[in-house]
Amino acid sequence: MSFLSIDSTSATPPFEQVRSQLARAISTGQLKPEDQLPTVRKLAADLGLAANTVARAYRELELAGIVETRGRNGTFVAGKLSPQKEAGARLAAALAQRMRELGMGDAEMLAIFRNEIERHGAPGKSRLRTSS
Amino acid sequence: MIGSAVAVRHAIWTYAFWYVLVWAGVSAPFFLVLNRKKRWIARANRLARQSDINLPQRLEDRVAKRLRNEWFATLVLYPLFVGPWSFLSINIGIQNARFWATWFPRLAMLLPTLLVLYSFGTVVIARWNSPGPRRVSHLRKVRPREAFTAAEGYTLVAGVGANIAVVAWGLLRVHSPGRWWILDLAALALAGALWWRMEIAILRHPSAASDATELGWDDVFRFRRIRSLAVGAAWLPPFTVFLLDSMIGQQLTHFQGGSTLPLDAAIAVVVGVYLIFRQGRQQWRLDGGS
Repeated sequence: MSFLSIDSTSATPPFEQVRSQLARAISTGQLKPEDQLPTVRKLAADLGLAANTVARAYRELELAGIVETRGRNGTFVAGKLSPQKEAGARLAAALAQRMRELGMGDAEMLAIFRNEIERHGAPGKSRLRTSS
Repeated sequence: MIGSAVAVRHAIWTYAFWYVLVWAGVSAPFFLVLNRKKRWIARANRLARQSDINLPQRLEDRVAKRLRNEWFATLVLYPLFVGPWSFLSINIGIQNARFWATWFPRLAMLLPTLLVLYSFGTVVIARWNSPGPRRVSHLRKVRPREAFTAAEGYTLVAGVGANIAVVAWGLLRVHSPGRWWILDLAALALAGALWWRMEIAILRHPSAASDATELGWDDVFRFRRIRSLAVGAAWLPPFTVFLLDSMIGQQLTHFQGGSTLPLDAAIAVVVGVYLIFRQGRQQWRLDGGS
């Protein structure tokens, strides 16, 4: 079984480390649909993070449709993406590929995405937070 | 009646005094001889081989210390639980069948819960001390059932069945009234619920590991605890109740010849359970990986 690791000296914010590693584990099949993720409290305690940090990573994965929260039963790896999210994911993948070709790193790409989403998003509807 | 109660109380205190004295006298040399660092490091390496996990030199001391803590908890808690039962088995022989008919339902009610607590107490919770800036955890939730093979799962269910059978058999023998049947079965259910809560508590305990090897060792210890607690909770109560009830039954009926059949049967069951539970030592390797 693979594991999730957090480096507190890294420049990448902890929530992003958790989010990206879980997303990668799901996309590579290490985590399969219906697998249950650790509880927010357990993961936060194991990794020495605040519960809010892990909760934020889970929330962003949920917004992307990668995981789903089933009330008190916990958070599970989602099955198939909805057609809308599938199309969105394809677009994002193509865009990320193009930006990499331009020589941009992950953190830079994310910052640009966030900035553009917030600049063009409908007022009061933005669900992204910029602070980590 | 009052005179009998006073005599029993006096006997309990005399017995407790000698019991503690003998236990301390016997265990002190063992403690001094067995509590050597070299011995615990050798045991840590043996556990590493049995569990198929790497034990780097930097972790040797910490693993050895955790093993030593577990042993020490057993050394302290064991006499607390064995003492009362041995007192009863020695003293009830000089009492009468009515005395045992009064005590058996109460014992059967308390024993499962006490033994669950005992099994939990012997598994000392410890954490790695210096995790450093890097921390690791599992990608997915680990469930209690992952600590057991299918055969071990069936053995645990059989243990629960044995528990109910042994208590029912004892209650029938002493012609217990209906309320004790209800209370004893409710106590079994309570012990089951308590056991489950403790299994969950062990799984939820933070690991604070800083690399894959430490996380692996954390799983080895966590799974050992879960497995010991399950075996203890499922098989210790029926084993103890059965042995006690059989021995006292023989004393009360003045059975001459002292049949060893109950003891033989209990030992055979213990050996069988041990052999089955040897199979799952590497269950900590979730999904076959590390």
